[in-house]
Formats: sequence, structure tokens, C-alpha cells
Amino acid sequence: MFRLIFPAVLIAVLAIDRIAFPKAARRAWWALAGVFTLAGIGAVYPEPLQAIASEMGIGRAVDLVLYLAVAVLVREFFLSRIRDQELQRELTQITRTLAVLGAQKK
Amino acid sequence: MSLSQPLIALVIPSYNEGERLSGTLERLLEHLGQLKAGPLSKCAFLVVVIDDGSKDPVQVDKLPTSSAAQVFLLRHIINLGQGAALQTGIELALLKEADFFVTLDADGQHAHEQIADLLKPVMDGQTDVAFGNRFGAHEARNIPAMRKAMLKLAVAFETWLTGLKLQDAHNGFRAFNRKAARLFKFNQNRMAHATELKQLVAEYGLKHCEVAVTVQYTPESLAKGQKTSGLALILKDLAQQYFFFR
Repeated sequence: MFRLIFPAVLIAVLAIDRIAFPKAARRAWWALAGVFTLAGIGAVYPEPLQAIASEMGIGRAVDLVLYLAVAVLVREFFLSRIRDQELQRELTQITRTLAVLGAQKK
Repeated sequence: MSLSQPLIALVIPSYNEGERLSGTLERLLEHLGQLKAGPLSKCAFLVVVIDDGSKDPVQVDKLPTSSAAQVFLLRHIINLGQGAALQTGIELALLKEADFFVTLDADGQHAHEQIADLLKPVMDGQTDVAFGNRFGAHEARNIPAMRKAMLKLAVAFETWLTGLKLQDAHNGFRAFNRKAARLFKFNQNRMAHATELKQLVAEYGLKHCEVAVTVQYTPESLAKGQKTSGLALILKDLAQQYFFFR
């Protein structure tokens, strides 16, 4: 049952995101579509994944996917923190420059 | 600026201070007038006020004037934090070729009469940075027990972190020379800059000392000043810097 529902959910999410994503982020939408297509294929035909998981000593294919997903998400979290700080730095620099250029003498 | 007439910059970050800023500036300018007539007669003064994105922006026309000092107003279009505001003020003062720098709070907590005391070791060339010490000879007035305990904890933490043996922490009243000012590049936009400053002093091996100053706690300055909960934020900012930018 899940094998059928899961791809349907993915397709629905993609359809909504097609509208929700800003036009400038169309490439990101295609990347998401690619990942979702792989996930959908994995759900409908889990045998190859299962074979890889068994080979690696992981019981279930689901666990293999979960481990990979957690690793990717944690990495993404750290990278976005760093990007945040860089942005903050740049914003500070811009604000500072504006302040110095606009210095008013009493 | 030649040292025959040293230029002293007073850097004052201000955020939502409203009327209090004008009062502080009036008293400060009056005192600078006295210094100019007396012990620091050879010096010129530059007052740099940084409005750190206050909700009600500081108007330059409403600031007091004086023949004793030039007054500059800078405005951050968004609120960045006290560390960022200080850095902006220091950069303008460096552009104006200031020789000596004093940082002060806008709320009038710091006793302006002690500016000369603070500057003395720096101007005499004995030290690069003079930190105000509210636990010295002039013990802080009306300091709440909780605030004092927190500060002592911060002192212990900073001593451990930087190796600098100082009695006070996070006191915004300090003086330093141009050499130090050029080295201060704060990554910390918010309150953790006070810890970062000590780290920079340690890192660059700057000469430093502490000078006893008075900090006057009033109900309003306490209401607006750093909260105990701010300590957690400072630690978080420092940890973030350590892990992501070292």
C-alpha cells in the first residue's frame, strides 16, 4: 500500500512546490524533482536498495536511506549556519559603510 | 593629527536612548570644556555618536553643541548591536585621524570626570588599552547582588579564556590608543564584543591596565542594561564564533 501512496504524495508535493517555489528557483525545483523521482522509484522497486543495504550489513533498505539523509541534513545545517554568518558580516559591512558615508556633523 | 595637538575621540553607541542621550552628551560636552580649560588643554576632542538603528532615530539638530568638541552622528539603518556600533564609531574616528579613543555608554552610567584618569596611562604611553574597573577603588554604586555575582562569573570565565588577569568584565568604559584601535576588528556584533576585545588584546600582546572607575546604577539604566539572560546569548555568540570562524 505504502509503495503506491508514497509516490503519489511525492508527486502532489512537487505539484504544489511548482507553484510555491519562486520563478527564480526553478532549477532548485528540478533538483527536488530528481531526488523525489529516485525516492519514488526506490519505494516502488526497493530490491536494488535492499541488496546494497544487505551487502553493507544494514538490515533494511530504509535504514540505509535514513542514515544517508541524516548525514546530508546535518551537513546542510552547518553549511547554512556558516552562510548565515557570512551574510551577517556582509550586512554589517554595508550598514557600517552607509553610516560612515552618511556621517552628519553637528 | 600630530601629537602636538592629540585628537581624542569619544565613541558612544546608542540604541533607543531617547532623551537620555542628549542629557549624557550635554554633561559630557560640559566636562570636555573643563578638560580643555585644564589638564587636557592641548587636546582636541571628537565625539562620535552611533545611533544603532533606534526605533526613534536620533536627530542631529537635537544634539547639543559645544566649542570644546566636534560632534558627529552616524546611523546604522538597522540594529546590529553594541559591538558593531562601537566598531563603526572607531572606524570614523580612525578616518578623522584620532590619536586616542574612549568608549562610553550613552545612558550616562559612566562618570565623565574619570575620562582623564582613564586616558592618562594611555596618553603617557604606559599602556595601549586601559580598561575601566568598577570593582577598584571606586566600587560601583548601587550594584545589585545578582549583577555583581554574574559579573564576577564573567571575570573568571574571561580570565580562563584570555589569560588576562583583570578584575572587571564587560565594562564599556575604556580608553586605548590608535595602535590598538587599528587592531580591533570585532566579529562580534552584539555584547560578546567585550569578551572579544580582551581576546584581541591577549592575541596581539597589547599592553593593558585597569583604572578604577565609577559606574552608577540607576533604576532606568538597570531596566535597559544587560540582563542576566544576556549571559547565555554572549556564550552562544562566542561558541558560534569559535566553531565557525576559527
